[in-house]
Amino acid sequence: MQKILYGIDSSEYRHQADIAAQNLVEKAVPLAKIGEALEEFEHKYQDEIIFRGSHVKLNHHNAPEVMAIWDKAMEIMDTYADVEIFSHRNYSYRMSVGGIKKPFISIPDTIIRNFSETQWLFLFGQMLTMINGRMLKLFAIARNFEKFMSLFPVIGDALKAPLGQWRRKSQLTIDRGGLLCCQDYDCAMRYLTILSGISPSSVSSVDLSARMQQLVDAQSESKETAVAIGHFNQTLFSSRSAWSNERFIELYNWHESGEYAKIIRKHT
Amino acid sequence: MKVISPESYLFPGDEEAMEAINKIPQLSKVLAFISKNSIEKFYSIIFSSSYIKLTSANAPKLYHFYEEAAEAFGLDQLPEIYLRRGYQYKTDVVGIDNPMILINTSVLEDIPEEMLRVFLASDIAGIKAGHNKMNFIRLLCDNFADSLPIPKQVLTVPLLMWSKQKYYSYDRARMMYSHDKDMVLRLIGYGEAPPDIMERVTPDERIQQGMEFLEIDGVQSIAKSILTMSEAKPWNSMRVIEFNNWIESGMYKIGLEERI
Repeated sequence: MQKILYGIDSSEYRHQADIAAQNLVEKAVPLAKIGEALEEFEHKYQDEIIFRGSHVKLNHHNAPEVMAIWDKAMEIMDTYADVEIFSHRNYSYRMSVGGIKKPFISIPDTIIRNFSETQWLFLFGQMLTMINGRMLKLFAIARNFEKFMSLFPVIGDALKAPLGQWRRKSQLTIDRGGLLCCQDYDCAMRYLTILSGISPSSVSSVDLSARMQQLVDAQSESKETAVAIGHFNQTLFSSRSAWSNERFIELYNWHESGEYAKIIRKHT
Repeated sequence: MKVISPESYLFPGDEEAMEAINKIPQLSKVLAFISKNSIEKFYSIIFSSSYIKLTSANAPKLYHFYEEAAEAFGLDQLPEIYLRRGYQYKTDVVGIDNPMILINTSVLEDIPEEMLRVFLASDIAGIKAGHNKMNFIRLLCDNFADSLPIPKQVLTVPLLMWSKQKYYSYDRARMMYSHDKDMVLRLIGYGEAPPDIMERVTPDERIQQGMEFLEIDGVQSIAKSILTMSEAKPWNSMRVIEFNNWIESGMYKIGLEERI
């Protein structure tokens, strides 16, 4: 049974690199305003049209179970977010959120069909972290800056690198928010394992310790130079998301460091 | 009862497009000839090599649904039916004189039987109305219009518009076939949420969401128009509103009376 985390704020569990980026943007007020404007622009002139046009809006009447879990997630994270929630047909296990004034959450139907309440809480914890952690404007800045920088080869890539780095680290913050909401370490690690490719129906049979050992061995294995360069290049310049395995290790490390337990104790 | 005539379910824009095509002398024969000697041969090899052919022996219920629909819409020859692995709830129809229907597995796995017979009926309604000709013209334009001495958009834009309008016709055809407004509304965008949620979404909620979509105005409506133009399918919200308007206008009842 999850405990309510009274007074918790996302700044307490943000990844270091994420904190630095957030502080930079919030101090540079025009940049923060640009980020908000970009996010609202994309939300209003694209997402809202698509969601209202084709997705199914969920409410307490047609999706009472989903809405009850959302209400529970807000209660656990001691927060409130005025959102609209939509479902759409997609074979993905990732939720998405957009918009600042009135965020929309989009849920693939495959999550509704396959996920347990605890897995839902993990995902909703991620969404609440993005909304209340004021992360969406940073994502908007990063996304649009990357598009702009793509016009300038080489130097554009060099400038995109720190943004890509931040985007990957911000996902680690979001994962921490997910864990704090579901308060089930096993569930969180198994969700990250689903992202690596195994189906929800089979993930319970995965030996997480063996998986962890596999990842540690892979990391410590010496790579051929070409492979190492390729991996570095992919990570820094091409990958917008943290590797699923990287997220698995990072959440493990954060949990093992005692930070997770410390936050739970502090707020309960 | 008489067969369901295309005039009773074709959306006006769809009907006008079909009439325009049918008025061009010999075009239907030329298209049928090219289709028979190109894509029908091509897809026949692909389908028979890669997908499962459904027959009255191995899929009796499904086959019977198509037989029932063919009788209701007055289609003399039943198309060949194939099954492929696919997540989206859709079917595709190719070929003009010898059409072939390709069904995604999710359609059979997830759509309840009573809704499945209505869902599949629109394939037959489309074939009867001659949609295959338009689909083939669209295929030709998408691939060869660049080589014409006119801007490609002169042809592709109206065809894209027709491609959306045919879904309004499908919804009307399903209503003429099933006489069940709630079921037809649930079939619009079926799968965007799991079945238990779709069962609980009331017609009023669908219409309300459609109205919210229609009410997008001002500068946002420009973005809506741009996004709409680039999509091959209409928004589900637009389908709900169009369908509801058609019922409210009384045209469904007139079509039904003419059939009796």
